Amino acid sequence: MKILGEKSLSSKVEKGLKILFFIITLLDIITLTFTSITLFSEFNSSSMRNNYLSKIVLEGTISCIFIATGIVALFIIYQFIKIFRNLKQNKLFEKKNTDYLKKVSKLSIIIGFLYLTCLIGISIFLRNYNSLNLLTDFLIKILILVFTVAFFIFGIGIKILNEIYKKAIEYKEENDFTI
Amino acid sequence: MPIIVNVDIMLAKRKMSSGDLAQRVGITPANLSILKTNKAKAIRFSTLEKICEVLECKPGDILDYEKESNEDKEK
Repeated sequence: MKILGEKSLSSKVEKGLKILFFIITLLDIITLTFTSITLFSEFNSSSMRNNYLSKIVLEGTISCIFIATGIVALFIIYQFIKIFRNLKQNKLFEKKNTDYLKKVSKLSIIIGFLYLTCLIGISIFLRNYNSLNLLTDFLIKILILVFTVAFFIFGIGIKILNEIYKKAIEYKEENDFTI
Repeated sequence: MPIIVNVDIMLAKRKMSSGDLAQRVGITPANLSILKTNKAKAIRFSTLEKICEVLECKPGDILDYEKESNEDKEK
């Protein structure tokens, strides 16, 4: 199977990423609308008790962070679309690709930090307002922790790969300019 | 790069055209242009040997070393 060029795996991945981009955008819009409606209705029905208000604020903050991770993920997918578009056109050793990877690495680490904030928020929320049971609480926290660590590792990994890619471009340039 | 390629001077001395040199050395005119404009990163001994053979000169006649100033290094 062809990996690079037209009608290859790269072009299929690019199409897949475009679909994923559309789905995440749609999910973000739906989540944002649903969260806003829910929080507003909760806010209106509450009798403005301090305890209830802080719960809504915390819920809103956690939801906003989740939506923010979705938006940052959209930027990551957009960078990957641009990389795969270059691969489709057989532009392998382009300096632009390293710029895209650099952005991906930074954005992944940002998502990692967002999930970390989310983990803290959820821990406070579960302890103070809506503890399900000890095992479920633990599993939710572990799941978010896994996401946090995964994104940090992904970001650092991409950063290292980017450095290797930069070296490869340098060597190729040197080879091209050897007469 | 502090290494200067003086193929132009030797070509003028030998009254030879770039195209002719490229053809006789066996490199493309585009590659010869890279060499003449000092954009080349390296030169193979085999290419240098052929250039010297065609231009009837020594490597020192083609290659020169000029110490780089600090401003150039920053570029």
